[in-house]
Parts: sequence; structure tokens; C-alpha cells
Amino acid sequence: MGSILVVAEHRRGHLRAASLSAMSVGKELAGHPHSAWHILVMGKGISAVAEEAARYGAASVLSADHELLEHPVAQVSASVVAQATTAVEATFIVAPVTPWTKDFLPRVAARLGAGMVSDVVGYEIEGNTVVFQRTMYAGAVNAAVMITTAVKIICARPTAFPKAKPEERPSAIVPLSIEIYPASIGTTFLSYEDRPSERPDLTEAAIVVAGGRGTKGREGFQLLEELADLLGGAVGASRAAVDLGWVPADLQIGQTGKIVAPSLYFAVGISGAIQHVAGMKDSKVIVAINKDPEAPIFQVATYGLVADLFAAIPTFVEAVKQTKEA
Amino acid sequence: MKVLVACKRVPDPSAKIKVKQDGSSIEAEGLKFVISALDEVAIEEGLRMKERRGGEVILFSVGNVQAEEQLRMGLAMGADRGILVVYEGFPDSDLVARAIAAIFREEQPDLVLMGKVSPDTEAGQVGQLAAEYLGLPQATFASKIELDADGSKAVVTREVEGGHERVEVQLPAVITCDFRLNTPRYASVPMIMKARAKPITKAPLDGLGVEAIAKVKLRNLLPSPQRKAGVRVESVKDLLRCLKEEAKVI
Amino acid sequence: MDFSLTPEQRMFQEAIARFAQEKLETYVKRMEETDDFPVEVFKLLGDLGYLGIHFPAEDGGSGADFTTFCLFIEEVSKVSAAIGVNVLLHTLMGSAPVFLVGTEEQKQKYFVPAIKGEKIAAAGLTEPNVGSSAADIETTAKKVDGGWLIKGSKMFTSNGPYCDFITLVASTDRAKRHKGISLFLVESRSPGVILGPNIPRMGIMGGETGSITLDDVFVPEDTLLGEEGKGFYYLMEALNATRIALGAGAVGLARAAFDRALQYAKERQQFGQPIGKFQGVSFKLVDMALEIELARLMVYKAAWLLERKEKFAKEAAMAKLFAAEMATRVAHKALQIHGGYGYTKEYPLERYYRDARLFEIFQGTSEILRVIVSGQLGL
Repeated sequence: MGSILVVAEHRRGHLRAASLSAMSVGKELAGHPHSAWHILVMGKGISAVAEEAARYGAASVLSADHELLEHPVAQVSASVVAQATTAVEATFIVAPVTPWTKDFLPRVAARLGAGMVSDVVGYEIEGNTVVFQRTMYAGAVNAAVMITTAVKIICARPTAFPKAKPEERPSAIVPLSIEIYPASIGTTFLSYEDRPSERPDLTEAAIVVAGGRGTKGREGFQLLEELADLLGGAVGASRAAVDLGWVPADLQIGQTGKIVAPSLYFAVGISGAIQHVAGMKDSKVIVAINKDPEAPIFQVATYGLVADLFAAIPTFVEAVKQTKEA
Repeated sequence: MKVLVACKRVPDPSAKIKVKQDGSSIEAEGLKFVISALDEVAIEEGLRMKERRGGEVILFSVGNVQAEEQLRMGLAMGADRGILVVYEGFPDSDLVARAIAAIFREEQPDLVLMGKVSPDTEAGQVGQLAAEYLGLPQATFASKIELDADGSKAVVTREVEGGHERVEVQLPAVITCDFRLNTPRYASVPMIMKARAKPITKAPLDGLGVEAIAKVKLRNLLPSPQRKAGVRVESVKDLLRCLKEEAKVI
Repeated sequence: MDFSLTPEQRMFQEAIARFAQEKLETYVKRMEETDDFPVEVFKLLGDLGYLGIHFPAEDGGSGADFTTFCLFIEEVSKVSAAIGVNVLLHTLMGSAPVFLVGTEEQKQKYFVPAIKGEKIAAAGLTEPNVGSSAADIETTAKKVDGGWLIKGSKMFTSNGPYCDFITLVASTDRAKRHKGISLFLVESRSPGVILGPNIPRMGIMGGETGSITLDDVFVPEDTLLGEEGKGFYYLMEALNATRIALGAGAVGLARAAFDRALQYAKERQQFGQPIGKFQGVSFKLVDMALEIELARLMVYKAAWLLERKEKFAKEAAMAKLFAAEMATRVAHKALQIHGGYGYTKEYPLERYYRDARLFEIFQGTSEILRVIVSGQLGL
């Protein structure tokens, strides 16, 4: 078997937590049978990121540092990964599931003739093969799948795997010189509108406060934001709240949005449609606050409170403040 | 303007999905099937382009023969004709992408549109795989598509981490659609009546020169363990106490 | 005997069920609270071709069939019986007579816009003193120079409070009784026309209905619809088709109540098991399912006869009679299965129960329908 290549993503100068989950998968797969695992980081001005990646015990960190990699379009990212794969003779590519990898990784699969499994939540090594688990039908079904090609690509769901731990020996950082031909790509990056937030990343936060149709809009969401800030958590939303224009789309949690698994998830004014639950059912503790006693969310909530959120949330916020002062 | 649009047959998202005893597939008996909601968004976008610029909207589906029902519904929305690639097995994303590539080479459309992901298999790979096989540019998770005056390029706004990205793609290209792109129209009665007469051509995989090899094989399906309901709390005070002392998450 | 729907009818059923669940559902709460009809619904439905489903395309319709119209009413009524009823009456009682016997000008001025949802039609038949004994119409139309002078009043006119025109039943010769009845197309804003306010009712909230007073209203020659003295026959024709569609509406309403009760019976637990396991409950559900199926068969058989231009007055009466009484029985049982929750406003059971009640009364009371069928039986 060839080596394992872990594609790591970084944001604002640091490795994303999701990358650390992918790294632990890559590292474990590298043990069966023995082979080396490497990490790929790409971007512009990423020496600090490469050094951070070098602390996790990989055989090497391939660093593709180039002007054109600041906002790489799909073909460019795919090209870099393909070149890195060849460089370390990888037969296994492991990446975290993120909007970035979902966009370009299938292109790598097509280019290399590799089978790709997205959103892996578990795997079992059975002799020479690996059987991967992924979910389907909004979390109702678990599928056990196998990749039949020599080169295999998997995207690991970050919430399903532990984060890799730093090791003593730093990895060698190997610059990867890449060839990119912008003219032949047919895609030009124009702009990226970033919305910086003081709050933690939705997919990384230990506490998430999410709102749905019951919040009736900005008024309700303001209450949730106050609670989230008090608890140091992130704010999320159901698809309904996004469709109604109350919050930006990247706050959407669910089958077609983000999958999260925090220690504590508040579902406030959210009815609990299957598609939403699919995005948060692995949370450790789920609190449901809803006026409707028959709302499906109560079927998955650890603690359910039938109440009007406009009264309950402020009361809860007050109670938390008091315990903090005590 | 010729637009090739996906029209995937999927179970009604509100249906309870059961797995067959032998784990080979889901229990389709008694299930209601619909067009994947994100593909409907793609179809709507194709129809709007046709209304603005003239041309043709061609639907495609890779699956069993019953998928013709969903192609008819797509035609009832206003599409011109449909192509059904008949494949009875569990279609692997790569296989579907190669089928799309074969259709593309025959039809030579200006644009390929599809939902960014489908609610059944949830792989979200097909568009990107097809784009690579065809050597075409792509733009995924589109929330806005602006074609330029002569239809040779499109500026696409994409829903990405933390905000929006805008890219310009040369056509032909593959664009996958997000829910924010549009609100699909309802089929009108006259359009449903007209749908009957519109052609749906059936093509088996080997007819298109596509090898029926899956790169990802399904070993078996199992029902997912479902989360059970916990307890009801009576008050905010109660809730806080549970979170602090019982669950210890605050 | 082919009991199946055509592929178009099935596609149609799927499309309208979805439209009703996604769009029409959003109006229900407000209608219950305010008893206002969301008049924009006429245009919404008109744009999608639903108001004129079974009329020929060249006349502004959608070119489908009457069965499809019944499927439409059934699916809409499952979500809102009030919308189903008022839309049905706009099309089949208010607009269909214009299509059947109107002049080209009358069709262009009234039928075509009504089918598009741009004009709302009310059918003025019932009066304060005249319900079942329709031939005793007291509203008169007196011939004058250039037209007629209409005097009288109408009662329980669906869509009355906001209609654009009234397909009015008036007597042009009281001595001739039903042979002296004629139909007129009266603009609702004509001087002398007073549209009464919505009448507070038990159910079908939002399905506005009111009185109309005609105080020496002058209507020109060209407002006579069809032939003088033939109005009663035009009316009966319209009424027969209406009764089938109302049967479909009752089926839709009953299905809504049944679906809820079935789901509840599977989920609600008492004495350690789902209540649906107890025969006291399951037998009720069986009877409900059975009756809904029977009503549906009768409704669609009557629709089939209509489409084949065979006699269908008896079947139409039977369909409405059975479906209406069935809807009340089903709504009653469904509420009972829900126990205390069924009695609250949080659940829709009490709405279904109240809505069902009207079906045994309007457009032919169950008593009159029995009279009609006994006549058909030669009694």
C-alpha cells in the first residue's frame, strides 16, 4: 500500500479543528498496514500553518505556498492535491468535510480514477480492506461501503473523530512546487465576502444556540445571541430561519447545511424536522424549547421545556448570570 | 441557450425510511417519490434562463424506469424534453457522472445544472466529477447566477464558509445549486397537460458507452440508531439545574 | 371498469396536494381568526390554471376534465374546506353558466377573467324566504326600456361580500314558476346593489357568505344569460355538477380528519400501548376508512358519468348526500379519538368537525337530495 495524504484546511492562520480530526484518521489508517502519512497544506504565506501541522507526527508536511493559492478555485486545489498525491505516492487521501473540500475533492477523484466516499462517520479495517460508514436519508440509514479502486479518497465528518494530538518529533516540512496554468482553467476568482465573527466556529463550538421559525425573526435571534455570548457559544439556525432571511445561510444546521455535535445544543423555536435533526443529533445534550408540546424536536431532546421562548430565554439568561455571580 | 438539468427521483423527504431485512436497499414499497428539491431549484433556474434568452431545457435522470414519473413532473414545470438513463442498480456517483459526461458529449449544452446534493444518498459529488471528466469549469453551492450578455460566461455567487464567494466561469460549465438560488414554480394545469406530449428518451448505460462499474460499492445498509427522547423539565430553573448538575455541560 | 387515474390526473393530484400544503396552508390560521377570505388566492389559483381546469383551452380553460377538477377540490379541501368551497362555487355556480349559455361578449367580459382569477363570481340563488323551494324565487326582473329592473334580495351568497359580478337568479314571470326564471349577470358595483357583510357562522371560517340586496337595479338587455325562462334548467345543470365537486370537498375534509386520527392512534399511548391497538379505536378507524373510500367512489363515478355526457343527477345527489353525512361522522370520530386534545383549538379536529356540518345543508340539503333520488327511483 502507498502512503496516506491528509489534506488539511486552515483559516485565519491556524489549522481548522476539522483538519485535526482528519489527521487522526489518516494517522490510524497509516498503521494498518504500516505506511507513512503526510499532511498537505496549501495557501499563500502559510509557513506558520505548516509549522503547526508539523507538530502532529506525520512523515512530512507538504507545503504549497503560492500567490494563486490564496483563493484557489476548484481546479487549482484539485491540481495541487493531485500533484501532492504523486509526490508522496499516496494511495489514500483523507480530508475533513468542509465546503472547501466538498467543492474540489471530487475533481481529484475523477482525475486519479479514485473512488471517493464523502461524510465518513466511521470505518472498520477488515483484513486488506477498509469498510467505511456513512449516513443517508437525513441520518435514518447507515451505509457500509467499500472503495474498489487502488487510490481511495475519503472525507471524514469532523464531529465523528477525535482530534489528533501533538507529538514530540516535528515533521519535515517539504515545499511543494506546483504548476498552475490559470488561462486553461476557465474559472476566475472574483471576490470573497468574509463575515468576521467574535463567536466560535459553528462546527467547532462546544455550545450551540440555534433558532428556528419560532423566533419570529431578528427579535428572537437577538435573545439567542445574548445567550450564546453569555455561554461562549455559537449561533445556528434551522433552514426555515435562513430561508426567511433572518440569518445568513452559513448558520444553517441540517442535512443541506452544517453538521454539528457540540456538548450542548439549544434548539429554540425549532420544530425538529428530520432534515434539521440530521445536522445535530450527535450533540451530547440537546435542550428543546418550544411552545408546541407535540413538536417532533421533543423526541430527540435530552431536556424538553414547553414554553414561550420570549419568556423562557430571558429568564434563563438571568438565571445563568446569577449563577455566574455566585 | 441549451441547459442540461438533473431531475433525480428521491423518496419524499417527510417519509419514514425503512431498511430491508437483508440490508440490500431501503424499503421502497409504499414510498412516495418526488423530484429532489435542489434539482427543482436547478430546473427553475434553467427555465428562467430559457425564458430570458430562448433555447431548450433538457432534463436527465440516471436510475430505474419509474424515474420517468419525475421527468414528467419536470416537463410539467416547463422543460422541453427528458433523457432517462436506465440503470437498475444502486448508482454510484462516479457512474452517474460518467453518464452525464456521455449525455453532454451528445447534446453539447451551454450549461449543466443540478442540485448541490440530493436528500437520499447525500454524496454531493456528481456535478464536480462530471466537470472534471469533461474538463469543464465548475461553480458549486450557487446562490446567484448572472449570465453575461452573450451567454459565454457566468458570474456565480457561492455559499461558502463564513460568507459568499464570487467566481466567473466560462461556459460551458457545471453549476450546482443551493436553496437560496430561487423558489421553484408550481406546475400549472396547462403545463401538466402539455407534459404528456414532450419526449422522454430512454438510454441504457451501455448504449451511451458507459461502463457499469462502481468505484464505491455498497456492502449493506442498516437502520441508524435513533436518539431517544429524554425528559421534560417544568421550568427554566429546573433546566439550568439539570444542565449544571446532571449533565454538567454548563 | 378502470378505477385508475390517468398519468396526468396523478401528476395533477401530486402538484395540487403540494401547492395546497405549501401555500394554501399558510392562510388557514388567519382565516380561522378573522373569517376573512384571502382574495389573492383566486389569482394564485387562476395563474396556475386551477380555476378553469375542465373548460376548453380555447375558451380560457385548462383543457383537462371534470374528474381533475374534483381532485383539485378534494386536495384543497383537505387543507382548507373554506377555500375549497368558495373557489368551487366561484367556478361551478358563478362562472360555469356563463360558459354554458353566455354570448361571446359575456364570456369575454365575465367567464374568461373569472377563470383567470381576475374577477370573483358569486351565484345569487338562495333568498331569505327561498331555500329548498327554489322555484318560488321572489327576486323579480321587470322588463323595462333597454333592459330590466331587478328587485329583491339574496341570502347566503358565497363570495358575496367581495364579488365582482353576480350570476343572479330572478323571476321574469312569477306566474310561470320555474318556467319563468331567468339568469342575469349583474355587476356588483351597479347602483342599487348592496353587498351585505359576511355572516358570522359555525364553521367554514373565511368562506365568506353574505346577503345581497337589489334595490331597483337596472340591468341592460345584454345581461340576460341564455334564454329568458330557461334559468331554472341552467341552474339545475350547474347545481348537479356542483354537488359532485362538493362531495369531493367532503372527501378531502374527511381524509384530513382521518389522517390525523390514524397518526394519533399510532402514537398516543394509554394503558401501556398505542390506543390504536384497542378495537374500540381501531374499529372506528376502519369504519372511517371504509366510508371515505365509498364516498370517493361515488363522487368519481358521478364525475365519470358527467364526462361521458350521461345522465348523472341521481348519482350527483347520492355522492353529495353520502359524502356530506360521512364527513360529519368521520370528523366526529376523529375528534373523539383525540380525546381532550381534539376539543382544543391547538388541534384542527374541532375545525374539521365544524366545517363538515355545512356540507349536509348547502347546495341541496340532505333532505332535498333524498327527495331527488326518490324521484329518480320513481317514488
